[in-house]
Amino acid sequence: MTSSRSFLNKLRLALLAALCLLSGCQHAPTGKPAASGEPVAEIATLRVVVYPIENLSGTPAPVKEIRRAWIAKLRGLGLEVVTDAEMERVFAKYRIRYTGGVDTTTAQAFRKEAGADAIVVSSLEIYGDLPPKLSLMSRLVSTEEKPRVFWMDSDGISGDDSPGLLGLGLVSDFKVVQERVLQRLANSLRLYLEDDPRQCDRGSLESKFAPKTVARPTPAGQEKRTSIAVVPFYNESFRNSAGQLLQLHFVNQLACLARVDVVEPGLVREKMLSIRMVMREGISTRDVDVMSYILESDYVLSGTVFDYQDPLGGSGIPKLDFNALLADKINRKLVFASKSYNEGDDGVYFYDVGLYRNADRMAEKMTGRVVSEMRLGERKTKSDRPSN
Amino acid sequence: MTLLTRITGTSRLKYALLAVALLSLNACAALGKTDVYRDSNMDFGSLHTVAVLPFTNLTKEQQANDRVRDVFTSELMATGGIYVVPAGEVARGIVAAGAGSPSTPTSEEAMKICKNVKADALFTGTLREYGEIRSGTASANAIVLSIQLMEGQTGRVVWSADTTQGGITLKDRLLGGGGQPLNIVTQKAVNDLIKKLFE
Repeated sequence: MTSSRSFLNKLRLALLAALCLLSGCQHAPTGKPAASGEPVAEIATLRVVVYPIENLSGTPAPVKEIRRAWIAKLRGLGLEVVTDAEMERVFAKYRIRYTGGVDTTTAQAFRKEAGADAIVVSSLEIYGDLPPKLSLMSRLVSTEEKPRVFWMDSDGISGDDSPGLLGLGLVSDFKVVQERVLQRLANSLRLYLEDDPRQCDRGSLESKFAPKTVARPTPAGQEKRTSIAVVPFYNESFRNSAGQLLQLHFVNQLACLARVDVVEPGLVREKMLSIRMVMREGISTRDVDVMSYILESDYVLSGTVFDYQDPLGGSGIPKLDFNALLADKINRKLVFASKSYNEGDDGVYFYDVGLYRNADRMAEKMTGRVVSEMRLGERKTKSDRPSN
Repeated sequence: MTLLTRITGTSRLKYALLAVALLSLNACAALGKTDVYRDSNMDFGSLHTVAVLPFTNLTKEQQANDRVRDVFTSELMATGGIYVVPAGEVARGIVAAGAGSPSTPTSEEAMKICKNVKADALFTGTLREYGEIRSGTASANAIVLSIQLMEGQTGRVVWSADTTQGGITLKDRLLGGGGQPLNIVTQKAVNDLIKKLFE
């Protein structure tokens, strides 16, 4: 009798351990650990402005609701968020209308008027109803004289990502998808704020997403710290904002390199508008000269996007096709060129194993592979904090 | 004896016919090589920087020429032997040269464009077929592309070649499947042309 009771206790303990392990596995594929819920003590004083979400999805989306939920997550991390009324007042006073990036004037305005240390800029990449789909990119930009990108990450989930057995894994509620995406982004930001070495660990980059062609006409400088300005890609696809999305994905990848300072896209936009730069069919030598001079960058990254298809409604497969060109300020020549194209079902042979349903996930992997081919150094393991 | 002579005579005839057939095959092989033109006086080793002009699109697919041009540019640069001027710089050079038809420039226009973009030569091309072709129930992707190389100093055509890749194979007819993806077929066509250039 005693032995059977002891056996039952052992069984209970084993089941409990197994359950704990399973709950741990739930977050394993993302490579981002779950937040403990406690605010990060060190950054409790960081005051941030959360910009209205820039909708690049091409469809109407509940951006206000998503922003509200995102603000709640940021508050949960211990960040002090500037009120909407205060933000609107600064917007009105300085006639700020663009919320997709931070330029010099905007950064200074929020620093001076609202005492903000940083601005959280978010862009909506994909939004869908059936199945629910959400992909969001967010970044933390400093309000210094020359705004810098301190943290950036993107995440996207589709309700039919993991249908599982008999479709039991299908998610039909958008709120669930939204919660998961925002939680993952919050976890990533937490890693950055806690100076966790895993902050730029974006998981494995599958070989199928490697660029199909890579050229290095002239060698790039490897030793010193470099600055890269990413301009919007020339868009030849049928999707609006595809050039801007590719630009943001590259900024996301480059911001994670230890020896690279990536220029804030809002600053790139400001300078391009100020000199009325129009790029015909991509970047020219003259554009590289001007951009690298006014942005004080060593390299200018540009390219052309031919396909950025993200089928909505649960049918079809995503498709991406783009090239990337990295031009050097000193030699006024290309130091790197690559050509990438992939479809969501590449390398899928049995039971949809390895199938990608979201273009944003593919874009992240593909741009990640391109950036690693650029050989610009290791990924960050230490945070670069905003100065108060 | 007479029979033996007759047999020998028949064998001779057979050998003669076989020799004629082989010579004919040889001639066919020679005919196959005429899809490449190469100026024997041109020193191709002197070409370090080239520009690739927009290709002429004779297909129904919009932007097919830009897609193929992009693959051609990437693959050419990936050889490591030639530097290819970025498309944006070429567009600027075309505008500055005032070329009426950017994909089919005259010799004078070609020289001007090369001067503007500091290139030793430029490539022009014509895309004649791009996309899915059908025959009965079978379908497959195919591409037909021709390329010319114009020297920057004189505006002369110094090299020209064409290629056809993809199409419906016996496997496609028997098993279906739609052939290879268009990007793969395009890459094969471009690599075939580059191989012909460096031969």
